[in-house]
Amino acid sequence: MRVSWTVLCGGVAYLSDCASEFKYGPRRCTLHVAVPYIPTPSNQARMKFDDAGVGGFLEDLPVLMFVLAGVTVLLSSAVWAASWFEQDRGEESLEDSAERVLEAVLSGLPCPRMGYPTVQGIVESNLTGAVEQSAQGVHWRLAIVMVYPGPEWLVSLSDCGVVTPASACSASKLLSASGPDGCTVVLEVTVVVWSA
Amino acid sequence: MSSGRLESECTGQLALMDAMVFFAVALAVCSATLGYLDDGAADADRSQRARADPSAVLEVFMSCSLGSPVSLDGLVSVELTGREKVCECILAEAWALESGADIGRFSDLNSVIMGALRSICAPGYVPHLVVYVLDEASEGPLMAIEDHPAQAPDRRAASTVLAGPDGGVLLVSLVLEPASSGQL
Repeated sequence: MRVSWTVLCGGVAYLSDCASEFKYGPRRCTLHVAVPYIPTPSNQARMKFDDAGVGGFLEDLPVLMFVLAGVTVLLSSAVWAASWFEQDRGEESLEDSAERVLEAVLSGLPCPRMGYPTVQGIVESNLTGAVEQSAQGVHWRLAIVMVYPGPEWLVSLSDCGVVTPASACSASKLLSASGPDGCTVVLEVTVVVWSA
Repeated sequence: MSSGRLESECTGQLALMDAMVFFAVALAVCSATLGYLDDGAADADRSQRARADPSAVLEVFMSCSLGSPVSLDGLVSVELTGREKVCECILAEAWALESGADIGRFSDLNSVIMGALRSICAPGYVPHLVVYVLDEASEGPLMAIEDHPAQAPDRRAASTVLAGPDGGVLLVSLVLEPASSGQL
């Protein structure tokens, strides 16, 4: 009794034969199925046996190994790409939050009708409410630093204590302001937002 | 007739070759995907650093004050109190140079201007300030504080226009060059 091994391997062999036929021109194509061969006049008419070049299970193990390795490589790269895009979307959301908080801070600064805001007015302004309204669902820290003429911390605010960030994003803007002696100084407003 | 596994027929190796081709294609697809995502990850620094943006730096730099007094010695001694705006000082220096003044007279002023520019820029960048006169007769820059920028491939630049009192126009360009390890 002559039996090929499984329907799956028979299908693979059939597809391989068809692919070979596509590459190398028409040749004999055989489908092996996992049923005992019972020679009857009816199936003899429909199926032809060709065991030339058909190996056993051990001979086809390299084929199985290459196919499984290829599928594994494709699946792992797809999973990695999906996680990367998911992380990228989260960072985009954080970037939008940082820009929104920065705009809220800049609009909350006391601006005179003419000229630049004063350093004293910026230090005395209460920016916590404006920031908390715009920073929803993210933690934040705000820093306003005079970068010229001399480095000096002016404002440092935060929403909470120590939280380990999963991902973070920042936005900053340079700002001209009037110093106490009439000089025009340069401030840097920096907002850092992060999600736990 | 012998069995299939013992027969010396090479057609059975076609399946193995097809599997190897499939594995090679899978590797190529995986490499292309990872390479694309790796390039994206390198560009994914979404934090906006205003001090590394030349246009933002130039905007606040031109409107800020000198910050420290400077005396310009020459035929006529000029004392700057430090409250003068940088754009006014650059404009005055440019028109003095156009009139034939010696640039060495403005070395102290240029040092103060460059100190202000270095303070405003992000630490990893070397700033260069180049001033051009926008007319048909001028060739090349009028002055460069402190030196001309090198031909770095990843330098960034921004420019603004200053109008003089006599109708002349100056183009002030700021070039931010990434600092090499020796300049940090």
